[in-house]
Amino acid sequence: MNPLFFGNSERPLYGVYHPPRTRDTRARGIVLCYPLGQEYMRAHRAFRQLAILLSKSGFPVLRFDYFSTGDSSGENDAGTIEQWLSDVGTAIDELKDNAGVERVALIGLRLGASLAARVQAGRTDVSSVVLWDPVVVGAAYLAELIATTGEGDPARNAVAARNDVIGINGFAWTKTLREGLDAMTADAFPVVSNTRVALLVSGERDDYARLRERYASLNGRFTYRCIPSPGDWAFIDAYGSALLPQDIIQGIVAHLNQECEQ
Amino acid sequence: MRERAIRFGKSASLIGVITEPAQGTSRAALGVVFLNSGILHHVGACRMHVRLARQLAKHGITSIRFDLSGIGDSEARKDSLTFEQSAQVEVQEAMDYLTVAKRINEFVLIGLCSGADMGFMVSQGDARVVGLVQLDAYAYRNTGYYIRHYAPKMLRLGIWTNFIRRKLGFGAQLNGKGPEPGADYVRLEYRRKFPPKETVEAGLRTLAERGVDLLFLFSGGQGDHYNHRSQYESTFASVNFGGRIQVEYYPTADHLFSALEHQRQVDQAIVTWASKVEQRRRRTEPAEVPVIPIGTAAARTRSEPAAAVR
Repeated sequence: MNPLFFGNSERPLYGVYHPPRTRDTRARGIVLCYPLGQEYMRAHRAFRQLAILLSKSGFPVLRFDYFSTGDSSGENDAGTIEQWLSDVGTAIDELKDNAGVERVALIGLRLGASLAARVQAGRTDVSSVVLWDPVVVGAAYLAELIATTGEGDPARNAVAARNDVIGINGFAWTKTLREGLDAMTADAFPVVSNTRVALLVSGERDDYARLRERYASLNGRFTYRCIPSPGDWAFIDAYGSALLPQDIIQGIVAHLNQECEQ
Repeated sequence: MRERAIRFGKSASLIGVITEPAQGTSRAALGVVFLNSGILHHVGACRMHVRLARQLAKHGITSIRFDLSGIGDSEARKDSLTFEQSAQVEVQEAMDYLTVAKRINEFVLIGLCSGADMGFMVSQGDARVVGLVQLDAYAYRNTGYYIRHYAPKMLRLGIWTNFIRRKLGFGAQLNGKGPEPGADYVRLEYRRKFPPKETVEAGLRTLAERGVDLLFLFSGGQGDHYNHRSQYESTFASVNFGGRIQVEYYPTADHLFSALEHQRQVDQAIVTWASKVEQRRRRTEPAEVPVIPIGTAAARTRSEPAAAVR
């Protein structure tokens, strides 16, 4: 594991590069796109494990923190959807440069999946994308997050009244960010004919069904698998425990291996 | 402010980030080491370590936040040390790194929950530690705690009816436990166990005699052990802190200090305290601080810092 800062020196991003751990290196790199807020904290362990398993399968892997998250530059309330889309592109370029690969796959979890789906549409070097428990409808996602915070936190409300930032489980969600989420629906997931898309989910949901219909036109280039696993990414307990759904992590690795061998 | 990602430690398997003041600005002689809280990686609960590191850098203070082996971005160790043993060695390796790379010989350790416990343990045996910030540290109920805890309840009828129901065997469901974490849930194998009060008292006395500055911040999330700002000093009244202790209490805060307003208050308290400690120590310029390795670190030679990664 090699930690690094990369991208614009005025707004550096933090990432961890996992070089391939096999003699034969895959020709395709993989960029992992974290979820946001508390879900990022809860998924960190799972992403580390996923990255290690993929590197043991011969993939060069980069997992990274978006602007204003984790170790990357930026205040907690400075992130926007547009910035994060740009950050995924920056990470792709960094991985290509670092690992010497021409093409990459994206794996995104929750909001990270939504970002990955949008980024791949604008690039020719993304050969496939894995959407893991994606956030499909932004407004519903926000409502779910708010529902986890409980009622009547006077300190949080005080901050929200001053600068229109809502604190959700310890993370700042600005008005700009919330408006960006409101605009996110199943229609925001582009369907690009020359890209492979895999929708891997921990449970059946109506919004996943809508996404399946949307990607149906890809025919053989679209994969759907439901791997029943814990998927309560937004949950927070008093100590900040992590979620490590082994079955779905193994399923993602198997899917990428299979895809590369086709 | 500048940040660098580093690998360090005996086998360069520890990963962290150094945050230092901008070039050309004055630098404090004091360094800060942030410690993992449970399984949370080095950014800290709700990104606390990142926020604090950047604010401290504006006050000239360099810091390192890193992951103990097996946590966050750091690889697991291959030796047979227990977590407590390896964590102690690794915190010292973080200090060693800043000493060699940044010529910093005095340190403040900052930790929440198990991070607070770790800081307390390391500071006992390493004279380089001149300040300790513990969020939700070991705490012990005293008479004042019980009075504050029970007095309001005695006046509520519901408490008495529930008590009677339990005595009559009707209230077992009131104490139902939540679901046990299964294989899909991971929590660090660090079971928080409060040592006997006398042990902590002796440790505090050691720190007080060494002139270590102490900052304690308690949340309402630790309400089963702590419920008033004065409780800590009252519990350890036999220790002469020599004016080097500050205690803050946030009764409405949860254990992770997750509300944005609590984050702001905690950041302000720590940064203000650290700046004062730095100023005070510079007024009484210390003699060269000896490095006292403890535990298994005694057999270790000080490692050269690994090459920083871009």
